[in-house]
Amino acid sequence: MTALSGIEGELAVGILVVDATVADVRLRSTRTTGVGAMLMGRPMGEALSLVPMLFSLCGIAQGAAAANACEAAIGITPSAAQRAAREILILGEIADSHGWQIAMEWPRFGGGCPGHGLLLPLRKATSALVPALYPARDWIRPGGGMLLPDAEKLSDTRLRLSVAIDRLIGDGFSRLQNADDLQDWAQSHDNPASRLIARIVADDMGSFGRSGVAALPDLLPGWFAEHLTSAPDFSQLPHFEGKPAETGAAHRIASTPLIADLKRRHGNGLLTRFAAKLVELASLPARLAALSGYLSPEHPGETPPEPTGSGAGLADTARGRLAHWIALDRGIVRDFRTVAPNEWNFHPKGALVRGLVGLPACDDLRRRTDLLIAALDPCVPCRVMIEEHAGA
Amino acid sequence: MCLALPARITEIHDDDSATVTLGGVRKHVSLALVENTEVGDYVIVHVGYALSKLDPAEAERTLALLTSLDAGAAA
Repeated sequence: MTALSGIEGELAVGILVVDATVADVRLRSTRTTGVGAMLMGRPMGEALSLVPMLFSLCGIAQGAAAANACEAAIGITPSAAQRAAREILILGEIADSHGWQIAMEWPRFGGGCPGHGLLLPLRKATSALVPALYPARDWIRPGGGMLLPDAEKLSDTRLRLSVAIDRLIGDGFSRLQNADDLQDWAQSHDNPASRLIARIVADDMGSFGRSGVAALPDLLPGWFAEHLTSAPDFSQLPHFEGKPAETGAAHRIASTPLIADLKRRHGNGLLTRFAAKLVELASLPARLAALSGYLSPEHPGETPPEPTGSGAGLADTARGRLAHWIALDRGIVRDFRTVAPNEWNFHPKGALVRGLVGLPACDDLRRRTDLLIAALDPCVPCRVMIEEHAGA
Repeated sequence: MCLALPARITEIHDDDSATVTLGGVRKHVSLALVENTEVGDYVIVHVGYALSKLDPAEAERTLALLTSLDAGAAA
């Protein structure tokens, strides 16, 4: 075995077709969820500095959730300015992630080539957020780092982000109110997002993958603390009141007019899930502007020496809600547990499985399955195997 | 992938791509999403693209941590 070969996880999706119907879907994930073990025994500050470096797609959300958990354990509350700055960084990361999906992944389904030329301006804009807020890059300190917001740089970043998003999905997306508007928008634009939406509408796949799996409610950190500490397998098999739940953009912005209308027509099917990423992306520049109103220069937060305690912290990734729980003993990490969106959305009885079981196994089952997987957006590579059997 | 595995650039090609080594395995990646890279730099790789450049000290620290996790997983 080569070094590191054992931690490149994947999600294997086994689909069993019996008599031309999807009879069963089995998921097997080898995604590493044991990162907490690496952090145990380390001083809190060192562990916190490591967390964002360990994750390629959601390092800021992971760091923010860990910092929030440490603050809960210590019993300190960051100021409104520090919370706003942290939220701005998280939204920047969500923009990166949605941007990657639209520019690099969606052309596989909607047509065209992956467009790193469309993605690069967006990534360059969001990469300016940390230095524009925390020049010392110490944003992950409990209570917040040395916050020195540069209004000019932040304004320039918002403008560049807005232009990059318009280039990626076209302007005016935020004004869409209902499914008819969305269809008109898809017909009148030509970009990776409009092509995918148009394809889904043309193939009558708007409701494909619709399932009865409920949205994960907006739960308090204490709920996650209780479940992460009481159930040994909660990190791998999370549940809400004994049932799987789904988390992601469609639930964060469920009340916006377009998503509410799509949910009425298509439930949590493909059209709702894909459109939600677009609605959220289009809304980000305005949300960044609103949060900037809370910013002010601040010195780093004070933390007690060698704190003891435990607590949970939450943060949103593009894929959904992330929760961390940490236990500190005289400043040392004694225990660290997490539950990530991947484990909610790719639960063995969750949204992917329930969205497929019982469907007719038509000729393009593989393409439709790939689309549903892309809509749920796993954070590891996914491998689909279809096995067909004749019935008794 | 989910974990940020630092890959070291061993060769830069004319077509804005590079050869990197990751845990002893050589891979060909695009450099279209990162700027000012040189041989010897560490980058985070995601599905064939170098996503970001890393400080060498941070990269070495992350690699040591992930290698210990891998050893634990393999044990």
